[in-house]
Amino acid sequence: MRSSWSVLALVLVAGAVVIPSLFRQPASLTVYCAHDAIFADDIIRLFEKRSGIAVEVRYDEEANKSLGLTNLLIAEKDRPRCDVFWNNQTLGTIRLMDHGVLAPFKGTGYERIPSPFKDVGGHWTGFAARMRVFIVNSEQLTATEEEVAELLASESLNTVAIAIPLYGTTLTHYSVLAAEMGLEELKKWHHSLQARGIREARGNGSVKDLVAEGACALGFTDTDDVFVAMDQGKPVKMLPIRTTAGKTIVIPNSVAMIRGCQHPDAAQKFIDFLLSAEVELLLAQSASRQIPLGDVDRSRLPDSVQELMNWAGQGVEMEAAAQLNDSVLEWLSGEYVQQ
Amino acid sequence: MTLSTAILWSFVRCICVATLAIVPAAELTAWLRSTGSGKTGSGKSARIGLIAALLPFLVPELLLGYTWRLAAARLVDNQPATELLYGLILTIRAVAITVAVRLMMPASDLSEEALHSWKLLRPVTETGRWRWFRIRLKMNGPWRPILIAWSLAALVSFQEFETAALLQIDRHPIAWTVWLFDAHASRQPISDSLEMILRPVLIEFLLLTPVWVLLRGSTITSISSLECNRSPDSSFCQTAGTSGRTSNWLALAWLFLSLSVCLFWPLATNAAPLLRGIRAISDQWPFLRQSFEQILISLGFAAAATIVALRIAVWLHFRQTPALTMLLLMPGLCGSLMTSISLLSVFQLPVLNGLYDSWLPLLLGLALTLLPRAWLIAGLVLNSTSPLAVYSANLLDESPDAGVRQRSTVIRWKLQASRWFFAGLILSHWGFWDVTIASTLRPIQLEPVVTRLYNEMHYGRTEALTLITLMAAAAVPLSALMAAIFWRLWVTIVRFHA
Repeated sequence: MRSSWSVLALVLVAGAVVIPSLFRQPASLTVYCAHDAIFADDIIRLFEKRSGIAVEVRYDEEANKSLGLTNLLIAEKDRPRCDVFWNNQTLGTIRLMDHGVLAPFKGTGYERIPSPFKDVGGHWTGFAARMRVFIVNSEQLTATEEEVAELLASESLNTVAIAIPLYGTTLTHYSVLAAEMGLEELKKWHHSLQARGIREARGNGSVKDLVAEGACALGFTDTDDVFVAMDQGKPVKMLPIRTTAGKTIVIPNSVAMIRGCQHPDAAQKFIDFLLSAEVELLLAQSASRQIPLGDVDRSRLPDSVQELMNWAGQGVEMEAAAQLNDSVLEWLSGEYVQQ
Repeated sequence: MTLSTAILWSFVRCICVATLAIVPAAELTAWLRSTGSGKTGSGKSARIGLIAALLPFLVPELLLGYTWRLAAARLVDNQPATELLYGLILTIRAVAITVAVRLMMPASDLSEEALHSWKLLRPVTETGRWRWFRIRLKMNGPWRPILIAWSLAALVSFQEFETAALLQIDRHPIAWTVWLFDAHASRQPISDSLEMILRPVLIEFLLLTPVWVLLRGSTITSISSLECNRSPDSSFCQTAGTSGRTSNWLALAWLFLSLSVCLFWPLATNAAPLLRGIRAISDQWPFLRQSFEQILISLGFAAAATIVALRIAVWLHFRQTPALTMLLLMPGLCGSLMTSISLLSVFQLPVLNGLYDSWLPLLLGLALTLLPRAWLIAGLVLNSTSPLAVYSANLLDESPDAGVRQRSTVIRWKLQASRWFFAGLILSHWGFWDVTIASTLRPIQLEPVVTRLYNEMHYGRTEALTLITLMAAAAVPLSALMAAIFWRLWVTIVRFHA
């Protein structure tokens, strides 16, 4: 290898990296977004168009679960490069608040969201929710609460799937159960599922695949995953997962401003935009069918979301679950990653 | 499941995979040589054969896992079958890697005649010393390419993560890389992870030992695989495998199996979404522009990291300092996950934080991750290039006759540059598809295409996914082709008319 060739090649590849960025508008706002890129991107571009503020987005990737945007924000706490965090759940955001990563902000958007879905101090605000649901293969099981309960009480659960609860909404689900039944009862329930041979997948998407492909009859997953399968024409239906007290598990998106961020004005405009009725409607009308939490024009909601709204009205409070999140994760780490 | 169990599973699997790959790879190599693959002016069928044999290696692990995840879902009642499926995918890739290494490597340092002469010197009663010398002769002769290929195949199989993660249900297939990923997901401190990684890294050094021993201080051979291609009947090349009729059938059967797993099945299951994707998205200019831009970014980083890794690897080979080599190879042997998380912490330090949101962390991360493989491949290239032949070709370059100079350039390409070119191509391919480093260390402004693909995979956007996949998968080979065409034009036009 000749040095001159290497230098020339390095210059060429550096050009390939740098040139595309020259054609971009300099960013006036940096957003970390854990919501699905294909749904969030349209909304962020709409904000750019309306406000004239250029936004750079960093999406969360499944590949990066081990670090995740929440952990990245904690790592960057002293020198943040992010202005706004759009999370696709709330427990992680509450954890950031506990680490002092978030700054309070109560704008017009904050006011229209009901109090169970926001922090009293304004550190974070929830909007557009998903729900934990059972995905049922309708060719193998009738989608009724009785049939599901019967299957879950049976001796063998080898046709039932759940994601490993170390991350994502399954961890939130476990934290909610821990808050309601206590950690010891949760452990018994978890061990009972395992002893009866429940299938453990690596994520909710994988649970959806197992049920949609007919390898399992029932799975624990989220509404957006079920809608993906439904839109692909798979024989699946959904039922809400209820806690022993009969509550549903509603998992809102949440948005928060980062403490010490470089563009606070633009950040506040973006947060108010996200928390508007217009964005909640857009998310409800998207393929992921998110459930609006504030007041919206109900006549413009798809039928599937109308039904979800009824279930979401029976949602469990998340405060206690947030407090138990760390203890649940500590116990689960011992279960899944022993040395 | 403990880390020790996961390491043991991964270790046994990688040994089995690399060992099982030896026989099909030998048959395939022999068949490819018999068809003249790699020879200048070789026929179209020979070139197709070579591409087909190496294709499983070029299909990214991520996409193989995504394609076969539904099959794994249907095998949920049969864990040994899931393990076998994963083992088969790894073996198919290992065979392709072994073939690539064996085609690059000289067939043997020692002729069959020399070995036979040594046999004739056998004492009446075989002494331990005589047997030991015989083994050493074989290791530096016919076994050398096999051992080095085995080593690389085992290392790549042991480090595999993406396919295992996508196939895994009920914790099968068991892989230490997936275990470590889960440990991080449960917010384990980085200091604990570094402690945990020690055992896998020790195993990786163990797997690299044959390369270390065989390439260190070895003599430059004068018989290269290209020369074997020119005269495959030479006794020097016989140890590379025979190519009888049965062997040819075996080679073709293996090719069919590997192409079915890596090409036909993925195409069959994704053809309809791909067509829909092309129809739906081909007129969406912003989508296509964004995808091209992301592919360009990925190519840029992969190529730059490859150049950096190869330069360091060559320097390490010439320097021959074991401690320094081990130190620099260590991050790459720890895997993408550990390298990226460690670098992220390093760039949070006040002194380096100014560089955090730049191209440097990603470039550095990719280069460090590629370094162990670059070191191995650079060793192969350096050992299969004759300095005397290169020197002679360089002398031709001094000729006042433009035609002679042009021929000198072609000869130097064949002797030296083509090998570095293919080494770079292989490493760039690895760098291009490394999702963990890209997703952790990329600056905000630059999104490599692989992270975008991962998003599309997760959200089941099959149409968009297959279209971007097709464009991305073609990016590295197409760039290589363009570089080759550019080089050809440069030789014929610029140098000829100089």
